[in-house]
Amino acid sequence: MSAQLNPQYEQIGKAFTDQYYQMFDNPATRANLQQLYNAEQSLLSFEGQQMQGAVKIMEKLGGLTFQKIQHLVTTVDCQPMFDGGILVNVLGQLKTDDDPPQSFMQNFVLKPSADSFFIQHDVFRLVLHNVAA
Amino acid sequence: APYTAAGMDVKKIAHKWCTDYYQQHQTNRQVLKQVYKPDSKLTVTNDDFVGPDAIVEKFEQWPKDSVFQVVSFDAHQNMPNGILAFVMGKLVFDNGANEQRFAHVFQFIAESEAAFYIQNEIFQFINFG
Repeated sequence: MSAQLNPQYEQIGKAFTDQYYQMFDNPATRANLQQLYNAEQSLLSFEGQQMQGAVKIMEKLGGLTFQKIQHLVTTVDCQPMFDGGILVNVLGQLKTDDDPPQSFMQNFVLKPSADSFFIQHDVFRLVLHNVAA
Repeated sequence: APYTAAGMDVKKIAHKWCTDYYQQHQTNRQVLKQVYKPDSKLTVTNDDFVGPDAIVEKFEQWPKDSVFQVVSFDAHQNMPNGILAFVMGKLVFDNGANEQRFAHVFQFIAESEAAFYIQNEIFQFINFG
């Protein structure tokens, strides 16, 4: 299979990341995240728990128990994938309600669809301060 | 036939590949050239390196006694013969005196049941929080 690397991967990956967290952090728009996931193909691992498809993913994201959340992105690294996808690695901090900030890692794989992209893979982990034994 | 067909334990396979990779990183980085192809790309600390020579040369700049400790591990099947692996861990060096948390992402491509290569790789130190 010849590679179909997307030359605008960096631009698309960074713009997508901004849009994602803006939508997430605003309670009025969080439910619209569903449009970014595919009904069957999207796969989310959230702190080790795996779910597939937009409906199950939104159940998880919609069921998180905080009133306020803010994501502050520190680094975004992107790479083009050989099937036209875009791999995005995000590191940052998030703040929920009045809790102290926590560091997080989130990875997305964006897949082209029609003239846009959807989230084919989404992996979220909080960064722990101590290595588990 | 795809080597990562549905029903195979994707997380177990990828975990073994990562373990082997880190082991090789710690003992002889030159051998890692075997897991990269000419268009494999590594992004590490905001720079890109393409191909086995450039990638391994970059890794050789790291402390020789670096030890990788995996804290969390996730894996998803991607593409017919591929597995994405997502690692969070600690790099311990200077005989345990120093450590750095890191995030590491791989797109592994299976060439056979035992052989893989790395097509995409992103490594980032976590220097905040």
